[in-house]
Amino acid sequence: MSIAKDLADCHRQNIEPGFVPQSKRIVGSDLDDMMTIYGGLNNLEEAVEKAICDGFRNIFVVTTCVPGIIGDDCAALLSRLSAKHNEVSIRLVNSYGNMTGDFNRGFVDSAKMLLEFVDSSIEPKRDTVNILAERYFFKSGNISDDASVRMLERFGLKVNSRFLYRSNLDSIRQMRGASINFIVDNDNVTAELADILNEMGMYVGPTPLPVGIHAMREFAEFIGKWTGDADKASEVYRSEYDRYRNEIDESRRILRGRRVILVDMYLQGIEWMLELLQDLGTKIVRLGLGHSVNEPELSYCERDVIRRSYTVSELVYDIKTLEPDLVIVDSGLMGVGMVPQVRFNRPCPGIDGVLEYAMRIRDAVIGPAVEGWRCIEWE
Amino acid sequence: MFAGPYFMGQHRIPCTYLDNQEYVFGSREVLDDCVIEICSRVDGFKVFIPSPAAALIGDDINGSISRNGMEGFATAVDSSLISMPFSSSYDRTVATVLEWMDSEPMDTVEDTVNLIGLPITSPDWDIALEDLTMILSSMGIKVISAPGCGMGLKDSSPSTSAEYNVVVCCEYSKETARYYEKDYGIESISYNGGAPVGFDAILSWAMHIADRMDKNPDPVIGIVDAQKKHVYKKLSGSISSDSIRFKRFGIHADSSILLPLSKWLYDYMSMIPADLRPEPGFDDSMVASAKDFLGNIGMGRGWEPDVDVHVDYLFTDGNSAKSAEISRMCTHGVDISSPSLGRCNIIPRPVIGLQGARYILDEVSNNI
Repeated sequence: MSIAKDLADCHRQNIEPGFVPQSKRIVGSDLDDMMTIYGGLNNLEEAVEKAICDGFRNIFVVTTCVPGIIGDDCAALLSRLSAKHNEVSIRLVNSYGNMTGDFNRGFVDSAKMLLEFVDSSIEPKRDTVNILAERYFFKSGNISDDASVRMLERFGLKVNSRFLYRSNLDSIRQMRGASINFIVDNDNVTAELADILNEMGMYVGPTPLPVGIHAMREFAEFIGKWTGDADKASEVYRSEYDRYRNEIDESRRILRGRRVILVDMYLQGIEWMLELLQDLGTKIVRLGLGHSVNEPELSYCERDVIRRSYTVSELVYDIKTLEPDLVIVDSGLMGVGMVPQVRFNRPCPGIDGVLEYAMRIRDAVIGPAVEGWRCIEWE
Repeated sequence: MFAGPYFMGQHRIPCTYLDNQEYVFGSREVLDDCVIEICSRVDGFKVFIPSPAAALIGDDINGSISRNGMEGFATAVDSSLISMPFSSSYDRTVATVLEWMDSEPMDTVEDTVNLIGLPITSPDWDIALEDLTMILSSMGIKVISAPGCGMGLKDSSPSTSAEYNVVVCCEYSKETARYYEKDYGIESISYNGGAPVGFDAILSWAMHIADRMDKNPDPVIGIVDAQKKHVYKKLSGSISSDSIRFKRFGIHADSSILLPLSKWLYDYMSMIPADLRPEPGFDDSMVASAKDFLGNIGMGRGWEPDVDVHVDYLFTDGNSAKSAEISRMCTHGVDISSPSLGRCNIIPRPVIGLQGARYILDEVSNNI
């Protein structure tokens, strides 16, 4: 449901004329119970034939768990269809869902396939960048979808392609038009993608696009050296710093001294959240990490507050014993409703996304901890 | 009915559309023609309201009505109300019509009231009126009439027998209240927490009236309690109810709506008021209360912010709500008053009263 909503939100935002939104370029083969017994290839064939009928000439088939489990030979089917429709390119990404590595695996395999379309004859333009690995799945909040583009424009950089986010084959073909590529977020997927591009001779910046003011400073220094215009980069950073400070100081008045439990079950690289909580004057009394989460940079909190492989039971216990004012959590499965809670995800690059979280954290403390509608006296 | 002159074929308020000719030479001819046309075609009494330009021209509308023998059917408002805030001009119009009707006073009947200050620009005002009538009736208080809200000529005299006037929205009733008090000795009961919007204000409004009229408010407490239990069952069974908490809202509305609605959304739904702006003609004490409320919860910057603020929900007139959604100033706009060109409520969606409270909760719960 959340993905569908995110796709719908993306569809509503800033769609250029002639650009067919992502939501209109994805179809499913509608497998159901019967097909898990008798096979789903007929449905797949129907879906591909319909896509060809609708005018699509570059079709990518990405498998999920069920075709893998039931043993559908998609490769053979698509090979036959390709021979039948030789004006259409049909490619297969055998990702088999959770059997072979889940969403992340599928994303990287799809990315590898699409990178085959990059036109190597195109010369890079200076001060032009690609943004890599923005994922629909992580898009959230009210910040404009173009916050990262606007941030780069302030540094005098133009965005050539947003690889795998609102991109089409033309923008992928043109990717070598950028002289540098920046990944968004720092996780296993983006690390693998960066390696692939580096092997292709497409330079990937040393750090992801910055999230938070500290990362913004480092990014500005790098851009200043790379573009040769350190003054401009410094001026952009300064302006963002002043904006950040004004907003944070306002929220800090309310949040200073508040006790926070921060729970990170999935997201890597949450230094931006730790930095924000520190800037807001809060005290992190517990940092609960999921088992696959790398330990973040700990200059922002004490080591002894960390618990690894954190569970809901531990959270409930900590709420009772540590008496936090607020719980900040990345997973809906950790909702316990005992104290005000804020869900978080990856913010957009720059400081706008971080400032939005500052506002939400502040609002969670301002608002009543328990809604009035829950306070009912039953006879 | 709407095919003739002045209606332009639409179900609208007839208009004379004065132009250059009339500005130079006066509009007497057009006026006379309009008075005859409207007064002979349309049932009921008519009120002629001059626009600022017509007031500038200075033609005597009441003179035209008399000249054409229509004194029994029409009157004119004597000032250019269009230049005033809508709420006070509405109130002035209602008071003008009451003065023109000049009803014979009747003996006071105990435990009866008129409801004043409920404008027909409030969405589904007729349902809101039924709602409030039911609430008062549960305490043994009978509503005789609602001046300015569907009251006809035949209700005018009986309205003078009310023991009290009960105020719904104070911005729409000050002159009306003064008229009844001066001419008929009927005092008004006005709750300083605003209109009965949201369960909390509905209860407080009713209890204030009960206290003044020495009535038992228990029936209303029971009714509101039942509503709250119904809401609890719905929200607690919904997977999205946890996501409503701390959502930000804005209200651009009359102060008598803004005050109770903002407090209720905060207390009842744990939502955060981030952009409160009263409509012109606001009540000073309600504005002061609203500012105090924001200050006490640490959201003083939410009062008429200098810069445009994005909110999750914006409660305002229907047209502005849609416009704010399109321009992405809000995620979801909620229609709580006119103008609202796109509105066509087959299911009633008032703002005032119990059904109004459910409508507001519906809007908040289903548009996260």
